[in-house]
Amino acid sequence: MVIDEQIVKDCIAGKRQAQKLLFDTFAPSMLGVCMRYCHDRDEAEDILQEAFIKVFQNIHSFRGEGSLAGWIKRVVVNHAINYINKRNKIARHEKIDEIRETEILNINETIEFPDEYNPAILLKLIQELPAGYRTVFNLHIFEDYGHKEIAQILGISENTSKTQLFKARRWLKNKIEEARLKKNFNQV
Amino acid sequence: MSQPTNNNSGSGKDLDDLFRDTIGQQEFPPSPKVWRNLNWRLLVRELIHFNFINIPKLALVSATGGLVILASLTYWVLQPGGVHAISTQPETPAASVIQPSIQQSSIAQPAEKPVSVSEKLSVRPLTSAKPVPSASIHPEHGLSSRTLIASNTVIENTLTVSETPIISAETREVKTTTRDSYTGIRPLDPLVFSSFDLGPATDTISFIRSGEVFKYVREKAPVPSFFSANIGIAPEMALYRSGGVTTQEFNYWANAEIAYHFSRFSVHTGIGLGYTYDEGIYKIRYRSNDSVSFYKEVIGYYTDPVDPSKIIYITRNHAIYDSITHLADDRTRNRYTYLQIPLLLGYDIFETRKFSLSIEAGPAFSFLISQKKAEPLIDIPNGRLILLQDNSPSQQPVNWQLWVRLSIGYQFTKNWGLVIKPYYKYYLTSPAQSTESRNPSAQAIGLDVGIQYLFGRKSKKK
Repeated sequence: MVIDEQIVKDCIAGKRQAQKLLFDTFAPSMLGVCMRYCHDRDEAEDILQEAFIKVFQNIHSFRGEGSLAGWIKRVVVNHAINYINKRNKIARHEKIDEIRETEILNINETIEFPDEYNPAILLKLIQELPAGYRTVFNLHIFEDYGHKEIAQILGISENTSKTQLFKARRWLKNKIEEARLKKNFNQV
Repeated sequence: MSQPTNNNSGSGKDLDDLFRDTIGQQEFPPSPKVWRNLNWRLLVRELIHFNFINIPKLALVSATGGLVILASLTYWVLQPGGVHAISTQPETPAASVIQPSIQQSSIAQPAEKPVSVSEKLSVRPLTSAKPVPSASIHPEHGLSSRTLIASNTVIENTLTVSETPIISAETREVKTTTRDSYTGIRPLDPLVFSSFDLGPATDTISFIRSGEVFKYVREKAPVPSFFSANIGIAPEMALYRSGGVTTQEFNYWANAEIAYHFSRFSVHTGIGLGYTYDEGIYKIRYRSNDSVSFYKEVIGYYTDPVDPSKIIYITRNHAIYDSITHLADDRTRNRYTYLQIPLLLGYDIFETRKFSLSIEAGPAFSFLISQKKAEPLIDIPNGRLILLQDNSPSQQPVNWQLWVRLSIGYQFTKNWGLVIKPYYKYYLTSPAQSTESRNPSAQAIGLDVGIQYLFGRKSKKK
């Protein structure tokens, strides 16, 4: 559904019908984003709800320069990160291992994946990741943030960000390998 | 939730692409309770941040019309001749109220139709140690003089109460007139003048005309001392002036007050909870990647079939980006919750049975109890944030103000009424401290509208 400028104006004016339309349009995809940052659906829906409060509260600051979907996604992701930061104090309390750069660079090339896979299983794997790994992995893979930006967002060092990403990839690779060995990847 | 199976050939796919392509665009319809809760929270938020902007015009017009109709009906009903007049006490004729404690026969019944007055009339006898004979009333005057009696009148009877009526109906005549500016004039005998009670309870003026001693006695209305309480809401416009620039913000208060009224004065205090607003100021520095040029990449070539000596190149354009640093600022709207406690002295300018007008002034102080800062939302396409600096003025935990206000009251009943208070506040201490400019001076004007209840109000207003 196309969200036109009038609907944004109506949302700024606080018209509930327009807010509902905006919610119905973007909530499914934004819940998909939230699901990647949390353990379960209930938590994701809580984040979604809070994030949309912020969206309606600050929609007047949307200047129409980019896409509305992109702006809403940014709000949702920021809120999800804040939520997880508050709850878990991620990264700061986790022990950082020294990992060689070559190891980090090579990890992504040493894996082959099956031809068929189930999105629900991949999502479940992400949700099972430790919070620190999961946040960095999400920001890097799905939001296309570089390590420097992730470091700024999460208040960690670039090296920590790289380490977390490396561990996330290794953890996911191991899980997928285990499933492949069991030859029932789709039933993990 | 649908769970499609992706059948992409993934032998060459790396881990990142696997996840990105598979669940990057996944959608999950939220459960209905999400919107229900969201809707409820938006409603609560609107009520908390109530302002007249977010009310539909139709509702505003309807509410205004309803208020006017209600006020008209109330006014009509509360009129003495109204259908459901609340006051059931009949207006009392003066003559019927004159019930002297000495025998009634001492005052002749008025020959004329008595004037109607609503206030108490009384004739108070005074006792004297020395019995004064009835002959002490001068025969030449007094008995034939006209005595004016109206509201709040006390006829100070100087005669000693004896077993028999001192002044007989034959010798004293009291007539009432419609004049009520003078409350009581009667001739007095010089001999008994000394026995008058000139205490502070009455407003007494004695004067002599042609050898006659007159006494004007007016009984003061009982001093009304009572408590009142009122609650109200007050939208307010605050004006902040700093460096020649005036900005304005709309604040909202909910007030509860009690007051003690004595004579024409009153002392007011109470508590108010309010939201005030101020700008959040942020400096932003970001770096964006802007396309400044392009170059052509050769991706192939071939020999011109027409002219074999020529080679034709196949190229592809590539944009060249340059990173440019931008400076910007962002303004947000921060909300602060204050608790205010005023201490005002009031003076009644006038007061009737239904309307009252008073002026009140005094100091008030406010405590900052919470603040909610809106986060700046920065949308930078093709760029990244370098610096975000918060230059918002900080709010003072306590500030002092001077208040002046008018209080306009309208009593629906003896105890319940509507009160409207247009007011002006001058901030003695600035509510905000700015890191960039001088601290702003602040003033505010507002309109407090509420209801009031008068406790134990015994004296009836004229």
